[in-house]
Amino acid sequence: MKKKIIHLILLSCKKATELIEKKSLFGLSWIEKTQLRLHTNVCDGCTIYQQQSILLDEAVKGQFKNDALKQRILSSLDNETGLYPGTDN
Amino acid sequence: MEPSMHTSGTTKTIRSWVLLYFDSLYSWAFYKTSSKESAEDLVQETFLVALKSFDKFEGRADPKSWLFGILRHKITDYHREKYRKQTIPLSEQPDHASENPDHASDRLLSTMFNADGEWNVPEKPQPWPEEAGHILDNPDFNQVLQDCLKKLPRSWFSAIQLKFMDEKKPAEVCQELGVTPTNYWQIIHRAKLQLRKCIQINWFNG
Repeated sequence: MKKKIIHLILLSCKKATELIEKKSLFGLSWIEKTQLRLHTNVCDGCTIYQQQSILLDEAVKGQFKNDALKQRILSSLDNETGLYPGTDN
Repeated sequence: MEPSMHTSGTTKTIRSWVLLYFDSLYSWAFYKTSSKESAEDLVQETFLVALKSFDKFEGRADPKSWLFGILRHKITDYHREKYRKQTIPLSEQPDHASENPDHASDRLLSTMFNADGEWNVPEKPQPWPEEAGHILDNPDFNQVLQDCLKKLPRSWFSAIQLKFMDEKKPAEVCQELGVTPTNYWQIIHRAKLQLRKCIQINWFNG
């Protein structure tokens, strides 16, 4: 029971990590921001989760890009040999 | 018309479009085909068509929707072709976890957290080594990440993919996925928990 009351104010780790992800999509209300800050102030696990979550976002974002192909298309345009050098000439 | 005959003005314009719209077109093609190779082909073809039929564009206002229009046709053709030759899909279909996402979610949450919603001790995030920031450029790490992404249930993977499409606002993503905003960030939460755990085990060996 005591834990339930503490979690109501300080959030559980499950709820805190949910807010961390919600924050990156929709932002948080003032109350949620305060709750999350109070929670991460006393919780190592969630503080670490938050840092790693940001790093993971960066890494995942890179997966859906393709800079190599972008550069290939740009340089084939620069050479004006068309997008498929070798087949167009 | 041979590409060598294009005026440098045309090439210059197409070049600026590649810089502006390549990322959006590519991530859209990847989302729609679930295949890196097919997305690469379709986006290359899109710019090739744009170059060849540039004179048809002139006078139109919005290059982005023109390019997306070309790509959309290419994607439709791709799916029609794939449907016709039933042989292609097997090799191209990513092997996403087939478990019901709701079950996957329940199982994941009960592994990660106790009944009070606190981290279960073995699952509590531990610091990654100092140099973890450099992993982003490491091809081996990116391979592990790709494998971990493939292990997500299909619908979680789609949510993650849409989250990182630059021009998609969260509200549009919800519409695309047919979920409420609360569903959406909860899906992302489950997906990130699982990804973090997968990376922890397969990259940081813990």
